[in-house]
Amino acid sequence: MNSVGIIDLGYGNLGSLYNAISEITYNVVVSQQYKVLKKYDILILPGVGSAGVFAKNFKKTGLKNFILQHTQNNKQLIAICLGFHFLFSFTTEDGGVEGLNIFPQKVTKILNRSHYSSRTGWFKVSKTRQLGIKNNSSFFYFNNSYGIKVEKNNFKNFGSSSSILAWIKKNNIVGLQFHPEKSQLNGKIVLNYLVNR
Amino acid sequence: MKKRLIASVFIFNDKCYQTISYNNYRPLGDIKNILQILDRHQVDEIFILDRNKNKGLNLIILEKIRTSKVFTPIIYSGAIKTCQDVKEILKYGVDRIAINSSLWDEKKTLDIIGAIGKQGVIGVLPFKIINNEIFFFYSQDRIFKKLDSIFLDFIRNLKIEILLIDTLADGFLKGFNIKILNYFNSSQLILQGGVLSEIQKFNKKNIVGIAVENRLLWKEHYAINLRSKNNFFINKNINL
Repeated sequence: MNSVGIIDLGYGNLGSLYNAISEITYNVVVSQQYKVLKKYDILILPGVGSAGVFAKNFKKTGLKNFILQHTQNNKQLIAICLGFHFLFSFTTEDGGVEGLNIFPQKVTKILNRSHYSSRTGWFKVSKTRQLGIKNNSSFFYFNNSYGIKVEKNNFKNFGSSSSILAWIKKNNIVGLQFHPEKSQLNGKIVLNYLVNR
Repeated sequence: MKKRLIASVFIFNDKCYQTISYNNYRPLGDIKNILQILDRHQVDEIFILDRNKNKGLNLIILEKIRTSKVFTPIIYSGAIKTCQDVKEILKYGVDRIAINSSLWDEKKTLDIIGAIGKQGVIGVLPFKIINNEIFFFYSQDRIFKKLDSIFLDFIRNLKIEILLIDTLADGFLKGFNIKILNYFNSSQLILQGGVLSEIQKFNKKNIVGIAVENRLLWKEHYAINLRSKNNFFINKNINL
C-alpha cells in the first residue's frame, strides 16, 4: 500500500483531504517539512485559496526543488485545484504568479460573464475511465475562478469539462482541477485509483 | 450553469435545530449524524450556520465535522473574523467559509477573501422586508440593521456568492420575498427560506443554488424528487 504525504501550504482544505486519503491508506501525513515528506511514496499538492498567498507560502517552505526531485525520482505527484494550477508555467491570478512549469500553458480567468465570478458546483468531466471510473463521463465538484482552456491539440493525456481542463496526466504526475476529496463516490474511486495504481 | 441543491444545517449552542421564522427552535439531533445522512443523500453542498454563544471558533462542532468524514463539500459559518480563523477552520474538513458580521467590516472581509480567494467565500445575508423596508441580520449583535446603500455597494462589488435567507419565510414552503432580488441583479445568489413550492420562479441565471433547511434531512428521497422535478438542478444519477 502506497504512503501519501499531503503538503501543507497553509490555506488548503487539509482536513477534507486528510479524511479522504485516510479512508484509502493508513499511512498518510500532513506536513510542510521536507524531512517528513521525503519518506512518502506519493505527494499531494492541494489547494484552496488564492494564488498569491499560495506562492508566498510555497516559497517560504522551500519545497519547490524537493517536489521536482520527487517527480524526477519517478514518484507520484497529485496536484489538486490551486495545486494543479502550479503545475503550469504561470497564472494570471493575483497580478501574476509563476508555477513549476511542468506544463508550458498559462492559467487564466475562465469566467468573464457578469453573473458568474467562480465556477462552483458539479460538472461533467470527460474521459474519466482513465481515472478508474466505469463511465467515461462523470460528475465532479469544482470550485475555481481560474483555469486552463483546452484548445486544439494543446494537451495529450487529459479530460475536460466544458472546454476547461479538468485533469491531466504526464508520466507520474496527475493534475486535477476538480476536488476528488469532495466529489462523493466518484471522488473516492478516483483517489483510490490514483493512490493504489 | 446548473443550480446546486444545498442542505442548510442550523446549529445553536452546539446542537442542531430546525428553525421556523429564524426563531422557533426544534431540536434535530447530533451534527455528525446529520452530516452523514446528508452525505448519503448526495446533496451538492452542505451549509452549516453555527450560532454559538461564545465569541471564538466553535471547536466542539468543528471537531465533529472533522470526524464525520463526509465526501460532500462543506461550507461553514460561525465567528470567522480573521484569516487565522479561516486557516484553522479549513483543517477540520471544511471546504468553503461563509461570513456575516465580518461583511460590515470592509478590511476584514477583503483580508479573508484575499487569503482564501473569492471562490472560497460566501456572504450570508439573512434579511426581512417589512413595509417595503429591507433589514439585514447582523449576527454579532443579533440585531437587524436597515439596508444602507454603501454597504450594499460594497457587497455587490465583492463578486462573491451571496446567500440570501428570508427570515420571515424560513421553515415554510413558500413566501420568499422576491423584491430582494432587485438589489442583487448581477450577484451570484443562493436562496433560502420559503422557496420550495415556488421553486420554478427562481430559475434565473444569477441564482446558482437553492438552500433547503430541514426537508432534505427528514423527508425520504426529497433530494432525488427535487432533482427529478426541476431540471435546473444537477442530476448525478444517485444510487442510495
